Amino acid sequence: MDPRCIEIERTDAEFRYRLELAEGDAYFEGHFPDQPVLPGVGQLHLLTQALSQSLGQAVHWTKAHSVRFRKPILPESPCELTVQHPDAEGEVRFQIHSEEGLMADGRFTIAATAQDQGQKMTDHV
Amino acid sequence: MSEPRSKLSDFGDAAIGLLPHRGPARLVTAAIETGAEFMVCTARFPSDNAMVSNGRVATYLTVEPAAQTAAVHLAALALDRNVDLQELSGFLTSVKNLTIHRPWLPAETELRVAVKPRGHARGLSKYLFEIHLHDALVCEGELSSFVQNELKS
Repeated sequence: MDPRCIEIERTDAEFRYRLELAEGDAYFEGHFPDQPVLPGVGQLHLLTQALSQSLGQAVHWTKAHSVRFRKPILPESPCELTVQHPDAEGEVRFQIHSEEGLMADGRFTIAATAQDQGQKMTDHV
Repeated sequence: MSEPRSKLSDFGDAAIGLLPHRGPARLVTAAIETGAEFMVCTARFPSDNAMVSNGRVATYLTVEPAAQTAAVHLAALALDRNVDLQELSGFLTSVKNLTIHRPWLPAETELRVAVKPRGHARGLSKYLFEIHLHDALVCEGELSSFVQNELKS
């Protein structure tokens, strides 16, 4: 599991992760030189990788209904990700919180990658 | 006799130079077409980008080159209005109605990124976008970004 995004709890409804990136992390390289900020797509990438680990299989996005990046996430700023288990259609809702409040949230749809393509996400939780 | 006024299309590559992204975070590579109501750029994910793994990148991540192309469009419009810009500073704020037509894309491969503005208000700009790889549509959707600069002369 990526040490930047570690699963800390799972329930019947959701996974929770702790997210924290050091200032020199590759996600901040060039984004931006004088004002390092975790890119919005970097948040989604870390979240999706962590979710794949929790589900025990690689997944990819097929749709995103709505994703909002409400406040910039800075280096050394711990956040907590909450990701609901995918429903039968593969739809996932997530939220990212920090001490500053809600940082990002959204709703997207995933599918299993490669040989597991037809399997329902809920079979793995 | 006055100098002929530059066309908006003359500002595309200068506008790319105003992006704050550097190194592996700079995904837009060239401006192809520029107009008041559209922008087309080429982009690629370099293999040293943090989101590239095993020589490929997840297609939903092309939201980032789309956001950079939208920023280039805003910068080109500002340059056309003689706004004094040293660097464009902004953030992606939302993504809607994203449809991904294939799961993965090869890194280091040229993508064609087209954006169309759908409204600007109080620093917030909405764009529709399409990403093509070798003439095939791979991703489309709508994004919003917030720009901190004053873009009116």
